[in-house]
Amino acid sequence: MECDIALIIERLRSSDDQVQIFDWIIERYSERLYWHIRRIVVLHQEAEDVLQDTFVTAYTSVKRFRGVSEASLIAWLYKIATTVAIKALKRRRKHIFASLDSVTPWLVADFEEEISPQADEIAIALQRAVLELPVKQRLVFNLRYYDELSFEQISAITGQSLSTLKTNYHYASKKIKQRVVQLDYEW
Amino acid sequence: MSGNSNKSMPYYIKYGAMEQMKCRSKAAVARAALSRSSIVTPWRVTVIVAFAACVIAMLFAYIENREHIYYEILLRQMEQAPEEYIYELAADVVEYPEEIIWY
Repeated sequence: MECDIALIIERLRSSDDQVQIFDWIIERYSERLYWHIRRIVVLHQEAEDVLQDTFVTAYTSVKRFRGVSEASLIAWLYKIATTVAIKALKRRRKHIFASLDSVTPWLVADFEEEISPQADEIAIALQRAVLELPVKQRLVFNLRYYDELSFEQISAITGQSLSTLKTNYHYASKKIKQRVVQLDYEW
Repeated sequence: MSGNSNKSMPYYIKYGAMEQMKCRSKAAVARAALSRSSIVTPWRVTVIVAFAACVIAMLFAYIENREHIYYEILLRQMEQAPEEYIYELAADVVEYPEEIIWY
């Protein structure tokens, strides 16, 4: 279904063949959304569940989507994926009043078990450093560095102001540099 | 919008897992579509069950209190009834020994 994205979005809102349109969306955006989710929840099985929930949530709330461009469609999908992934992380807290950052040690431990045997040493060190960041900084860093989104797009996804995002990204980069240098890797 | 980066990710993922995930996501969306078009939705079932529970509770309360309501009506009739009918009405309210003959 290679066609104009504007037409796809138009059909998404009005047509009866929404399931077919969603098949196209799933084909096109699954991979990048999966990696975005995986970087948040770490475990593959959990990432898969979150990815499914993301598409089902998008399907059931498609009437609320007001965008007209591919950028807005991607931002909307990322926003849903992030929300569902954060919910999954919250379920891993010891109790409901615990901070979301309290799951960090478990994420780091899970990561050690999820490392690919073919993985690059620098990529492993970088991911270890990223996982040690507070969730808000980690989210901004991932979206900016790995997903290569602009701060405006990240703002649309996280709902945070541009200045807050830039500050978070600045601190995140600084911490990662320090951490990687500690691990004797060149940044 | 820029595409997804090709920066290497150190996570293990089984060969073919991405295609499997796409299939499962498509199936999940199809199921959501089916349940959305179905007459029996979880929301509707909840409303029907709640309504049925209310009706049952009301019926139960009515059956439990039916006799009291009946006696209250009789007592009100007795208050307003002429003297000659009082005994007749009272017969419905109070159980008298069988040997008493009223007429």
